[in-house]
Amino acid sequence: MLTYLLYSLKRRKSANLITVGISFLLVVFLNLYFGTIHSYERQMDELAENASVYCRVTNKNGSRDSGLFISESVLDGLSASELISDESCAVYLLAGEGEFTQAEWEQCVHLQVSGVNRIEAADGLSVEKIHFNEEYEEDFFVSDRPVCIVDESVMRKHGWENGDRVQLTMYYYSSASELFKLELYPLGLIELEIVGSMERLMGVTSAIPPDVIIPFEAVRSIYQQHEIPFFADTVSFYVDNPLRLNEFKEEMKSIGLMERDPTAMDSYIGCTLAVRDRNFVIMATQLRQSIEILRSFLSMVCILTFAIGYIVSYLLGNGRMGEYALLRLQGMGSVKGTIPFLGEQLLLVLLGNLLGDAVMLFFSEAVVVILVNGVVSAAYGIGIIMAYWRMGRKRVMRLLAVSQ
Amino acid sequence: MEKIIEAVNVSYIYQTKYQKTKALSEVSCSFERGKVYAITGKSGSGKSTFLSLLAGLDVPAEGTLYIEGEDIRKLNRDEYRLNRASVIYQAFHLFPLLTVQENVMFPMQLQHIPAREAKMRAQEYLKKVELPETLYKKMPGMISGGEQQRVAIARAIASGGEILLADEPTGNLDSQNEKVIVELLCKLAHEDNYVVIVVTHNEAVAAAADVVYGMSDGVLTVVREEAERKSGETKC
Repeated sequence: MLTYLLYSLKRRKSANLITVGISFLLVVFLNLYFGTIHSYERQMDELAENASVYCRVTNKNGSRDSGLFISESVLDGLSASELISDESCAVYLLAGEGEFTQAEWEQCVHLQVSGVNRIEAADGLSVEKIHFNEEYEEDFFVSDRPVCIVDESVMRKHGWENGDRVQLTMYYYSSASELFKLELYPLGLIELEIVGSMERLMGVTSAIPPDVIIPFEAVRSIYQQHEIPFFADTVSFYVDNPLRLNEFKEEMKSIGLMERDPTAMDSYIGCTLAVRDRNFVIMATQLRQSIEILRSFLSMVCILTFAIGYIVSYLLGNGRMGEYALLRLQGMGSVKGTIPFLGEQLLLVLLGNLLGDAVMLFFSEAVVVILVNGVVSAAYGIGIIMAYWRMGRKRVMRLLAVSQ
Repeated sequence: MEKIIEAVNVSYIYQTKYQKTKALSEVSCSFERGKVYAITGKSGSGKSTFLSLLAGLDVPAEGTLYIEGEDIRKLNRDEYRLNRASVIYQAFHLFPLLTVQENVMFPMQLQHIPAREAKMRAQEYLKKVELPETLYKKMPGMISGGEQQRVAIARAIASGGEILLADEPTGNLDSQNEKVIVELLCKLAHEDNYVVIVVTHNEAVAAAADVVYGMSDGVLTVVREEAERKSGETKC
């Protein structure tokens, strides 16, 4: 058997080359097919990382996204969520130096104060613009201690120095009963330690740049100390995994953030979420559709691979029926008689596969090459085995009669 | 003489999806070592079918075929062809991918005879059929029909069996080659004690046989017994 197989491999060079070539081309084709699917899937994963989905809390009709009243329950819900990242929160206050009466507020209140939980929450602020005392550099924005950084020009004007403790009478915005009329209320006299200075912020937006920045949690603590309900002014964040966008939207609803209603009355209540997912959804939809279209061909590709394996082997086997009959005539059994042909075919296909793998390893990922080998082994291999199984069922008498 | 093959009421039916054809009908006969048998008859009379049954390529539908007293149904028919019976055909049926010598070595390799010994024996058999040594390394397609048939006979001898079945062995040969092949077959029977059964249309081949059977519509009849050889006919 082995001798015959070796002679056959050696002496049927052209036919063998064609078999190897077909197997090689099949491997290349399957690599291209599975490689494209894999590439789209990877793009999808990368899209989730690169094409981030930005969200911002707005009022009901979506006309305002800052200067809002965003409740603590919403803030707590967002903090607890695992589906968001890079949450930026800010609260805006007004302040005046020292203690003064409520009647004097218009003369004394001239400092813009922002409470922010991260550097990006303050419009125009960057690391280079802040000069911290060393010990506060790392954890200023996450601190809940009464510390602040102050605009350099404000410090000069007030004669403040880094490390000074300053007393500010603060006023906060509160919503009136109509929900859209704003009023200022005194928060109280607060002592703050200056732990750094900042260059004058020229904001990207038209908002008035802050003179004093306090950690967001510190402001929240002050509200709690004075037993005043706390509201954030602006909240924005990113969806941590945009591929879970639907799940994210459901969770936001459960937190109390509704969908925008353009027909709703204007208000300052931050209860709606603007999700800037259009680009992501368009790109993700395109990729998903491409993947689905390609995947819909998967069964056909497997059937095609099987059919090629079967047809190629069937045709090759048909051309060698005479040899098979001769082997049977020499005393080989029906199974033994097919083994030289089956073995030869499998060896040639394996060779074509290996050549295809060697070439495609330069272009495809190993995982794709392994997958292709799996498909070829299964579908193409079954096709070959079925074709030669049919050969083994042929009646030798009939084959010999035909060749006579 | 010892009976090596005996057919008792052997019938055979070709069956397809659409029809049944009775190819052999209650054939009874026997074959002895050291004799050449000819089975003559028209095309489609069933003689090749009978030869195929004798070769163990199938079993009778009815009746029994005994090989040295053993029912062929109970034999391992692949082993029977490997070790005891060989067939040669009009179309020679040599392995196209093997050289002349490799063709003759092939049955011995199947019997696990070492390659060196198989080669030596193959050369002996090729000498026996008087094939020039220059042809040993040639592919079958490069030699004449007569030479190919001699290679087929050498391969049949190489299997070591004592039954040689031939289906129209001279059908594709000219008269000169036909004579050589017939002489070879007679020599194997008369000198080496083979039982040679030849299916043929050819009168000259039949004339050289010891016993002649006729086949018509699947029915076998004795045309001539050994003792009835005409005075002009010579035993080859």
